[in-house]
Amino acid sequence: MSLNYMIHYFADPRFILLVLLGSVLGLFIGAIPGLSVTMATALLVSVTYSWGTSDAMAMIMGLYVVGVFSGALSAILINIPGAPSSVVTAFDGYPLAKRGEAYKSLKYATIYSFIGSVFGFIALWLLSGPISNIALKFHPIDYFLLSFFGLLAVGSLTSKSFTKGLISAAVGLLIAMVGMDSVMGRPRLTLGIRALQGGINVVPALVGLFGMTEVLSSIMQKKMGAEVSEMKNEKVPMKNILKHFPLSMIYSAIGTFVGALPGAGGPVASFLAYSTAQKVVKKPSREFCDGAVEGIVASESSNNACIGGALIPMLTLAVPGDAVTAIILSVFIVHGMQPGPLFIKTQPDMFASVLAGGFLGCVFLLILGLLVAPKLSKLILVPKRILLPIVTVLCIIGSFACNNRIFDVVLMFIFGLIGYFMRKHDYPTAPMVLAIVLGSMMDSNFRRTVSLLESEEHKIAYLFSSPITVILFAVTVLTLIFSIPAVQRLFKKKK
Amino acid sequence: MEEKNKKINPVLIEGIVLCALSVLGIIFSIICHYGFKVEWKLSPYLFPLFISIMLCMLSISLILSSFSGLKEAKREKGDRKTFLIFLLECAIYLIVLKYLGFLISTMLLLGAIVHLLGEKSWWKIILISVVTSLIIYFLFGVYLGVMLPKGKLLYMIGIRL
Repeated sequence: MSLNYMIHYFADPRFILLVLLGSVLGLFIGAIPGLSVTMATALLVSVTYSWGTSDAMAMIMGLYVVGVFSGALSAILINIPGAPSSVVTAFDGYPLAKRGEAYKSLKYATIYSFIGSVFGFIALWLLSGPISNIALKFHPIDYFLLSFFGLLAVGSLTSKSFTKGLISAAVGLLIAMVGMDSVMGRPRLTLGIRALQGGINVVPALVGLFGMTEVLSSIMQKKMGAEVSEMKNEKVPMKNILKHFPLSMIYSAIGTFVGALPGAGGPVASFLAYSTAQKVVKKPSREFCDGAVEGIVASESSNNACIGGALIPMLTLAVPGDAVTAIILSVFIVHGMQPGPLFIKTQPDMFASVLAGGFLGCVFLLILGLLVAPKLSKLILVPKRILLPIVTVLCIIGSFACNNRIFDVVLMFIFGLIGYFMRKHDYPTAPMVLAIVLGSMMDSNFRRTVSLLESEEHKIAYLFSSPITVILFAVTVLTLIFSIPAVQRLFKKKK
Repeated sequence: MEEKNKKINPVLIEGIVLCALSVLGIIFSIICHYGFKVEWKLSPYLFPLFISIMLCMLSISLILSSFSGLKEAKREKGDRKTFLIFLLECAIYLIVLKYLGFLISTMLLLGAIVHLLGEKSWWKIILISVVTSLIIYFLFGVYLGVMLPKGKLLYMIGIRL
């Protein structure tokens, strides 16, 4: 069924144009250090608020797919990754560029980003159905445990201190509780402020935590100077590039799996794939970290395959795989839809719009990466004194547009300051964002579980009557235990 | 002399502050729950209480971590003056926005920030602030239909921007 809808989207010129627009935006935003795909997606949510859901998805998917790839552009040319997932690409991409082979480096990055992205979306298409069927058997406690596991995983993977990661998540959950209680219909945690009775809209929180935090951090930092590597249009035979295809399938599988784990994302996937490449490839073209194309293949295949991977739990379980999918989840919510196990059955057209947008984004990634990206080398050095004021105004308008309230702009600045101080004191913002998005779902499932238990005589037996609950509980407890620093030290000593 | 030079670990201070806030959260949740006069299973403050208790335990863990060596990475001192002036300019913008409307307030804000961040040439400042504001105004206010603030003062003198 989703294939029919996808064909309809592939044949719709408006849909294709919106994906192209998003892709072009993603190419510029991903390439410029200081701008992030996460921030741009958060801004796009408010801009596309009044659009149809499929139109919004088209633009966001184009931005997401190409934006993740284009972080490689500045990583290769100026050794400053445009996105965290491109850090590993710089290890070999920049040394190659310094040798005058920037074009070759970029071509490898483009081709293997394309391959990785397509792999991820095919995995999304094939695996979403089976995972949804499993999720249909979920009880309220299972949703609660899954969200809790998601927050634990994000908290442990995005911060050096597990405690700080969890604190960030807990504060995010409290923020999500502000507003009108859905069961009792009365204000909760509003502190008497009338404007808070509608709750804290996720858009100002996202724009503040990602956009304004970036602006405030950049203002505090000293200016960075960089030289752009020269881009010579050299011939790189496709046969040479495609001989790494079999290994790219392994890296893409790593990326898809890691992307499906909440909080892991592109950086973790690319590091894992890179270390796999170092073990598997016996005779690289050059030493790793000195211009080995095998390093670029590993990094770019895996970090782009993450995109499809991150969308799997978001669409089937309503648990986002990373910050961008948390924002995409909010797009569905603001348009009155709820991703989850029934999503593919009840909204096959919306599922198809995500897939179609993703596949089209992959095609535009290839076209833009081969034809346009090499010409962007000068543009990525936009001075901060022009970039930051424009980003500030975009943050203001992005947070104002969702409810037409100046109060939301004030909230955005407050979240910007919170995000800045969190970053300064090594508290990750990703768990807070995830918690704000998942908070109300966790609350309702928590209370439903407690209500159901009240009526049962054998509460523990009822709670663990489902094998899914037992598995989720075990995974959650093990994640909690193995994230405790004392336990980690114990295992390291034993090794 | 050595004791004077010994700085308190910031992680310890964070832990203490968070602990205090979480205890306040627990007390607040319990008081508000009794205001609702419902059972705990139906109470909107059940989950906030659970989170406040979790936060309290985490803050105690943070305090203990500070004693076992958890420290924050040393960072270079940033440009605090520019940072604070930027915040002040944004605060003034939020106040002025209601009276002058989006277009004029944003032009002023953009000009102020561009100048603050180091642009010396006045014609470049004016060009960037005017052109950018107009583009954003037409793109969002006109084309995308976002109802941007109109400005009470301008409205009074008959300007509808």
